[in-house]
Amino acid sequence: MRNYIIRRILLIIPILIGISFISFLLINLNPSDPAEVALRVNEIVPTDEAVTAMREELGLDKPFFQRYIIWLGNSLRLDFGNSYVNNKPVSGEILNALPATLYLAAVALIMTLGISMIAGILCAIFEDSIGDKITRGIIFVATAMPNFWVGLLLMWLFAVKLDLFPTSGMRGFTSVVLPATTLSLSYIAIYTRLIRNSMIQNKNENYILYGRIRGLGNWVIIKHILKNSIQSSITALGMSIPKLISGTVIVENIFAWPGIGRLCVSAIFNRDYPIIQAYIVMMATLFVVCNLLVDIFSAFLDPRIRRMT
Amino acid sequence: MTLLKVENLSVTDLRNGERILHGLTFSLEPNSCLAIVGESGSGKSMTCKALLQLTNPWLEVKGSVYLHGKEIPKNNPNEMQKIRGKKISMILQDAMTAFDPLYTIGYQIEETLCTNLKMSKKAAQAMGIEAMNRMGIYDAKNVIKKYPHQLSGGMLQRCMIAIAMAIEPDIMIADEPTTALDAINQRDVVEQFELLQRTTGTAILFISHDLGVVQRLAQKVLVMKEGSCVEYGDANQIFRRPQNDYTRYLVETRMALSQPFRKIMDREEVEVVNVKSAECI
Repeated sequence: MRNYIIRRILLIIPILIGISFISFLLINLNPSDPAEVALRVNEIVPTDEAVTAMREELGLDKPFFQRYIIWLGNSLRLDFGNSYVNNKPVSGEILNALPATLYLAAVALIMTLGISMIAGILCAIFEDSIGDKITRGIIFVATAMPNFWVGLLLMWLFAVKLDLFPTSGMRGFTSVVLPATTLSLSYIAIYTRLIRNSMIQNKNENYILYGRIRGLGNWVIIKHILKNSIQSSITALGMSIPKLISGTVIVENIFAWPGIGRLCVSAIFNRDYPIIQAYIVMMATLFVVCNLLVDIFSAFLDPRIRRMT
Repeated sequence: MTLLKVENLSVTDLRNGERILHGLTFSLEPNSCLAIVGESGSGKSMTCKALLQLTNPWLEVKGSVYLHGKEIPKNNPNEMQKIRGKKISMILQDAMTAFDPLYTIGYQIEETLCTNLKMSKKAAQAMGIEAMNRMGIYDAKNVIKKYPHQLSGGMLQRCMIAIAMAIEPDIMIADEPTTALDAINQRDVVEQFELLQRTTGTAILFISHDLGVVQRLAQKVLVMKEGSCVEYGDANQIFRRPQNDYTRYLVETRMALSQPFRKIMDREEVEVVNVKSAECI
């Protein structure tokens, strides 16, 4: 088990280097000149001298690989440079916006886990009951609705018509309800179906038949089914964490939520490259790390994975 | 008194109206062995599942089952759960998939014994190890720490039998317990069944298509074909003078096939008739 974890951690290093290189390359392939952009956003006329001076200041006159190495080194120290717009450090900007996003994602995650686990388990236990059929109908609709539309619908109904929650911003607990619901709705639908199907599949396995033959009680049987089903859904559930955090981009913009998603979108509009680069690297790292944690956790749950690796 | 009496047991598939079992009637006396024989798909396993009320929801089971003279109620899952395991144990054919892959064998043995015998975990563990020793698993202390995928099919089969034996049920249903085993393991398992019957008086319902094993263990035989009983009676009678054409066909063909097993069962005898039995194969 320990060797497995060490090997997996060592394996993510080349992946992270690859990610950083690709994100750096993509930004550099962008047709507009960062130096010119940096001047424009500060409303300075981009004369030739000004551009050259700015290039020097931003280190853009150096060759591509040298710039990459410098940027990578700085990134490792969490120094992503300064924003072109307000010249403040990018890491500070991100750290300021991060708590709001984490708060939103955490509420959405709790909603997703709670609702989908309960609904999935109930649907599997009462397979083909009316409740199960209705839930499956809702799942079908919820999976099909894009979340910007869901957000607007919820806002219209609960904030405008019923006036139960604020339409936007981050003020008090009620303001998180609508964005978190919007964010988690499609995940709730996906995971309810995943858990339901996985439990039904496990319910018909031979070891459950033998469990019943051994005279085990209903709750013990459900425990066995559940552990096996969780085992097969854990990868998907674990990967929902980075998806929820990165998925806030659209929701944050609809509900004017002051998180990193909105920071990133405004950075894209302003061509504020350092922020975009930092955001990409951060999200990619998040995905890789979460993937690693999920793998370790499932190896911990399932002895067969430990043996295979 | 008859231990188990089955009257007119029928199973119908509600999805297409197809009848899977046609009115089976048989009984099992204490301290005896009834064998159900027949080819694959003849409804042998379905009979066991129907007895234990473990059929899929789309199958309709009709008929009455009496245990100790009392009818087992239908639609009473709690009552049935108390009977399963404790009064009627069953051994499955496919040992490789019969245990939950995420728990150790020891945990699953403990869990079973604790549920059925209302004992502490420690006592259950000791009892499990003892039962495994009796089944010829001598390193039981290591085996209980293993996960199902780390053990062989034969070993898992023995664990399954050990569980059933530790509980000492009134009736043990063995659904083709020797099919997945090689001839030497088969001999051990059959001997264990004989031992169990001698020491505890547990009645055995033995499902098999291996007539060699059946002849050795069973006092009574029920021959099945396409979900119906074609012949039911005394084992000697059926093996010597089969009344039904199908039974005769089965006895003739299958006896030849089970020669290797019998060779091992009667080692001394084999020495003498070695040449003869070799010709039969």
